[in-house]
Amino acid sequence: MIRETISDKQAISMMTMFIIGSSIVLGVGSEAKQDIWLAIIIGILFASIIIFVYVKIHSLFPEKNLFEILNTIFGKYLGKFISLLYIWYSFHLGALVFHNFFQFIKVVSFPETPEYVPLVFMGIVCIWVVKEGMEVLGRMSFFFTILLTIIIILVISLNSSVMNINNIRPMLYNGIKPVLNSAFGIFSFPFAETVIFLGAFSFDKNKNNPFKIYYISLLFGGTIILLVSLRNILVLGCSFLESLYFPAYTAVELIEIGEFIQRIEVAVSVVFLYAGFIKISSCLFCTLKGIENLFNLDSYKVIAAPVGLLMMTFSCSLYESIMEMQEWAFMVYKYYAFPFQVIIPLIILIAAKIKLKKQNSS
Amino acid sequence: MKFKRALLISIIFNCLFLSGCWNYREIEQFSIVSGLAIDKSENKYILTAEIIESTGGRDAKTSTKLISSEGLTIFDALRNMIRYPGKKLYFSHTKVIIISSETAKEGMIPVLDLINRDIEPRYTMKILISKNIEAKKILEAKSNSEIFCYTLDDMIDAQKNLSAAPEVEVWEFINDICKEGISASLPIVTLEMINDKSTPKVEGTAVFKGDKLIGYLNGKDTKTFLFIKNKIKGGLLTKKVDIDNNSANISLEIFGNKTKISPKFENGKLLIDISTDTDVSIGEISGDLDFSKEEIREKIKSYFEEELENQIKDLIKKLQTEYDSDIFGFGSTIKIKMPSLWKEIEPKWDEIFKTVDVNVKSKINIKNTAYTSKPIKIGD
Repeated sequence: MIRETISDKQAISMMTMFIIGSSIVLGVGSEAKQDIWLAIIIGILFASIIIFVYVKIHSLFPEKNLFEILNTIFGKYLGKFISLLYIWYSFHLGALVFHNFFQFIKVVSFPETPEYVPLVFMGIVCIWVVKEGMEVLGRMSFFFTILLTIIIILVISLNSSVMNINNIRPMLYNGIKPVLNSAFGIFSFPFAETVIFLGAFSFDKNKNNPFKIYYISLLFGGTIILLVSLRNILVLGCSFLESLYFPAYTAVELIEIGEFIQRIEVAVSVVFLYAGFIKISSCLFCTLKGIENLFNLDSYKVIAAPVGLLMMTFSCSLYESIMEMQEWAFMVYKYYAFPFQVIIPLIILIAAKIKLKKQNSS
Repeated sequence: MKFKRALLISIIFNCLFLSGCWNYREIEQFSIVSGLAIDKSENKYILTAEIIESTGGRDAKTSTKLISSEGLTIFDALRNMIRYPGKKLYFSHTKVIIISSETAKEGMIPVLDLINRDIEPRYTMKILISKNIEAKKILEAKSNSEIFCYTLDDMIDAQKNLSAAPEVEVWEFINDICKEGISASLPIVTLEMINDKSTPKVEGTAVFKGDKLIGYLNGKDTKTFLFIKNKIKGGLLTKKVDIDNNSANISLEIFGNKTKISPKFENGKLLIDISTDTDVSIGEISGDLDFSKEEIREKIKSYFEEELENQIKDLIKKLQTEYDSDIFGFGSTIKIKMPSLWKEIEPKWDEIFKTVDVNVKSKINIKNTAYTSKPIKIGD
């Protein structure tokens, strides 16, 4: 097995892109209405607790990824079974992002183009970058992070002319319950999805600091999502925002500064394209690492293409329509993802502690 | 090495010559729509579109043409339009939508749904209501070869310095319909005869309740309405003033305005405080009034302040009694400032709005007197 390492900076930017990924375009937490910003902050707080568990697992077993850890803790059979669950989760998540991606393209720009056309182009690049390895993906994410942060901040500042502060008032009009509910949704999509990196990363003990990587990227990605969501609600107002599939796109559509600066919605597509690409590649990477470990392969690279293609075909058959996608992403997903994001990592951590204690005492 | 070089060359070649979109279309295959007029008669929508036709070549010219069609729904009518030019219509450059008052009286949601749902029309288009006239008549009033709908768009833009009609974009209108505690309003367009030629005129406000048109405000009331909405950007205040037996017509030019609406709840009664703070300059005095004296200026100010206060009170009274539609957004202001009270009164807001008391305080600051410090005096 080849061990690849990346620097902290690259890991941070990769995880930030992963968090921004599809959530920036789909929009998060619209059920909290005008308190969306509060919901996001609470979501980040929730996530910072569970991320502590992920960091702990990483630091207990340095230089090992999730699947190797599972094998050492739970033994051959149970370990492989839980690995299988995580392989499914990351495979499915990658397919979901693929689906979001081509639905977005289909709705906003090419309604008549068959969906597999954008899908194939995206998929080939993802397979390619994964074959090239973690380092290439890391370096690419670093470059994209700088570029996308500039684009996002520029677009938000251009949008300031149509913002209306009254759209986020009054605070907590519908009580705290919908806010907590949507905070839970935001916690599972996108913040706690970083559980994927338990499988994708295997940190170098001397080079990497998992605590720093996880928390800085949570804060950075969280801030960007907070800014974008706040922009959306300030520009569109909650009742209009709720009726849109892609609120960010519409918010940017309203930018019209003179006859000169207008029609810059493509900036949103660019952000989604790059961040979505990193997210899909990370999911694919995690799946491949899992399969490599499951079958004791020499290198995951031999199966990159078949698994990538499977992911693409799977994404086509996920939903019948965009309505189903919306319902799944905002109603079902948070409950479906809860075991993968919270329960199993907690069990792993507790089991690991017990195991290590036993080892030390014996 | 040789293989790699061949691959590279073939990739570059493919990128240059074989790339393109799936549904590749040239600009000639589209009819670009600059504006749309929507009428309704006997359950059928009649759509009239102004399409831009451009000719290529050295002396490229743009001309426009009107086409119309009908259908059971708006989308149906739009697709039926294809028959005449034989091209698909393209809506991303549409700037104006005119809707006849008769259609608007039956409700705007059926009309707006497609515009809201489809990706091509932009949310920054402007909507106009054609008062007591078919919307397509407005488009037919076009005189020369200019793109008429773009001229209409400029006419709406020019209201910034006139304040005789509100400027409303599609998304703002949809937002006003969706929101609680505010009713929507739109600008009006009518035809006026100038030199035996009918010319469009943008003036006045169409008042909505829910998504249905229920009444109109004239140009003067619209200015007052914009004052209350804090949307005044320019315009004039004119009045005949009598000071010390000297009477003169004065025009004040508005440079800025700030309106504050603050609801109060005292002794079980709702009171709405409106205070306006307007920066003006003396633009014109048709008479002998020495405005360099402070007391004269104070008097001018108080004249105008009183006038504005009365206008605001009258307009609110008018809407409470005649139309019973909260286009000022008092309800949403109450929601923001007193959320707990709003929860109580929301179901009965229609009733309460009719009886709400308002308290108006206007303040006018004369910032300058333009280029001259004294009026023209007649020497003996």
